[in-house]
Amino acid sequence: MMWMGGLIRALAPICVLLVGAGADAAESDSGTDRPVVLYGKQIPLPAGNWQRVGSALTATDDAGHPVPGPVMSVVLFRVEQGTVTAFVTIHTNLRPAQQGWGAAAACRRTDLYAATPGVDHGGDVSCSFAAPVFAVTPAAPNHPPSSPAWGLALAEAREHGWSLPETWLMAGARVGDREDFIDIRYHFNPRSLSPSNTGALSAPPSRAVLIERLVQWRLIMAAAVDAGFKNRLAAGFVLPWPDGTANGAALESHDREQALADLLAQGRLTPAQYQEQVHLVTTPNPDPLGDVNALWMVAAKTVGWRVVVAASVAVLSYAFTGSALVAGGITGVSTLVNGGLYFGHELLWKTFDPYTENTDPIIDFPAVGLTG
Amino acid sequence: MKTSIDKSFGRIAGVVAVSSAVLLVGWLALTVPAWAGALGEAGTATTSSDSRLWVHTAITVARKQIPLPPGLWAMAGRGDESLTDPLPGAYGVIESIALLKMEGGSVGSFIIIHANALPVDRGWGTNDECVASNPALIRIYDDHSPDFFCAFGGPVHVRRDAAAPKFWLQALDVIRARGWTLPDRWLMSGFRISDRHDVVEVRYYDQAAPIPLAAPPRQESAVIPASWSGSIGGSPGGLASGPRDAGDQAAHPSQPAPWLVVLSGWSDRMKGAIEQGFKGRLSDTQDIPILPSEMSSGTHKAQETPEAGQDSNPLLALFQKSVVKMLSWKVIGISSGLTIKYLFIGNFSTAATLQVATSVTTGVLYVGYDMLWETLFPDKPKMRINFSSVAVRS
Repeated sequence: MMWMGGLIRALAPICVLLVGAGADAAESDSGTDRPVVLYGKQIPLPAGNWQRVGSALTATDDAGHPVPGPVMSVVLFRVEQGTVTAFVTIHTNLRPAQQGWGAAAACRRTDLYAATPGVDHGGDVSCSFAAPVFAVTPAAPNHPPSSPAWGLALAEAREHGWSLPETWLMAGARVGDREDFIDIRYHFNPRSLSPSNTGALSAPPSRAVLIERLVQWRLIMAAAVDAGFKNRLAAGFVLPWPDGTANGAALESHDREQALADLLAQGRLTPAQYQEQVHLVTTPNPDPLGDVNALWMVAAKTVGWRVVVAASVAVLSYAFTGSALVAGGITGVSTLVNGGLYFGHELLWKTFDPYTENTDPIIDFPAVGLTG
Repeated sequence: MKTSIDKSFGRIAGVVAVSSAVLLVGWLALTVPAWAGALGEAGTATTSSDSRLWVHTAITVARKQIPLPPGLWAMAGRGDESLTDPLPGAYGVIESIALLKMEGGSVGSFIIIHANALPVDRGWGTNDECVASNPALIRIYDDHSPDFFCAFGGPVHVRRDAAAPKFWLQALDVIRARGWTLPDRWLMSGFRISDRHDVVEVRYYDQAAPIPLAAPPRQESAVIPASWSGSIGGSPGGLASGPRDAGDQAAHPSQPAPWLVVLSGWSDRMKGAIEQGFKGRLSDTQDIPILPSEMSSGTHKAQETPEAGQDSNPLLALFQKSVVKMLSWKVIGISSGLTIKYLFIGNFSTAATLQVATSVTTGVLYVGYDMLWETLFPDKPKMRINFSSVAVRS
């Protein structure tokens, strides 16, 4: 099998050349039909005029290892008045695989502003993340573009004289199962994230505010990417702009109330059923399985067990030594010391656990720059 | 001579072509409006052809595709239902659909579909049929919460009572009005697939006659173990083996009922299409297996292709980890306990004996403590959400 990997690696640049021009046949992104469909998956996009500025086929990940099948990478630009206000990088498979496409490294990182692991087992992956990104742009010509698709996009920008800042705010998601995957990262020009004028350029709010908005927006985006992966986005679906006007939870409940009102209007819900369901949206119902795994239950079990151990140690020590003082001393000290040791032992296992470490593969594709 | 024959042939062909075109247009004009009305309410077929009859691979219900075995399917009933259990959250309505396939003047097979209109965010749990213990087919394909995917089935007889779901009464009315007959007994093969947001439950009701229903399996071996089908197909099933699959077959090597063999094989072949449809990725060219009764009897076993399992046993991994963790804790706990006891007692052999005594006692006590705890505070069972049924177990 090793020689096959080598072959794929050797052929990858050729594939890129062959596909660079002819890839557009497999999709429809005229800009007016939303959501865009790319290789059998719906791509949710914020409003605006998106252009496909680069695409390339790759057979390796960013470390040069072969991936389970050919992967298309696509770059979309949203250009307004000569400036790129946002761009999207997409990686997705052309044909189904059998053993999954791995997780993105960002899914398992703990140092990003937000990384929600979500689902990550046996080839099923669904996670989202957000971080500022320093992209390689025409303003930084000393670095080569990180991927052929991004190189094409930069060439396009140079040709049209579009300006791109170096710092972007990125939020992305990876969704995959054993057969298919999509990795999509939305990059926003910080100057375009003002709430007053959606998408237009203005002085950016503070970095902390921007990141908080992005973290909120990430939840909406992740749900949309997940639905799009399963082709369940409604016709005409448009992602909101992450300008602070769309709060994750609020948007969802607003959407759902609207959808319920529509069903009521169509006569598909009775008024009584409508009231009941609106009640479900507005009042969070507790997770039916939550309390069994709650931390206080684990703590109660541990404390209860310590009591049982202390009692048995006390009885046995007294039987062996015949001295209440010695037995009490042994019991007291060993309960305290062993309790402390046990706590430390648990913490060590939690931190360096070789068993729960996720051994499912990580497959990353070239990013447009460094994640700050 | 040759040209005149050609001419007259051409004339005849022209007349035939024009008249058949007129007939076709007329027929469409008469029938399509009636179909379109029914169709408008009921989701659309996956291809552009608008008709009430589907010869295509799938029907879309609430944005989820459901694969249809080859044949001409007619929609006979459609309705919105609501759940009595509000657990999953605001799902809108459960869209329910009945499709019929005719064979002569009789209903040859039918399909019942349930799907949620609005996504929720806590998963859909399972249904009663995927956790049943009486004679039935159960194959668990995915049980990583919140995802769930299971196949179930067995012999059933249809409901005709007034309390049956409305969309089914509607279908029964259609059947009665057309003078069709609906047999009583069916071989049902169902799938329940759900993720955090959406659920689809589909039941394929197939003619029971070609497949012997006699000799029901013995009660104990009724749940067909995934590994059991390996004895036909050659490779052991892995993924499909839920916890309740374990055991029984060694103690009861009795031959399972023919319908169980047929249904389990069919479920394994249909599974891929169900999954693809749930992801909205069924293509028009997709190969959907024909219904079991339409296969010649000889092909049942030959087509048995159980999936090879790839996952290692998660329980074993957990056990391994627990043992290693226990050993590492015992080394720490015993050495600290021994040190403390020695410091208090001042005699090493007494301290060591006492340490052995306490270690053994606490070891035994722990098992009892753990069992007591599990009994007092058991893990809550999986959320079960059931949809209305049009047939009951026979």
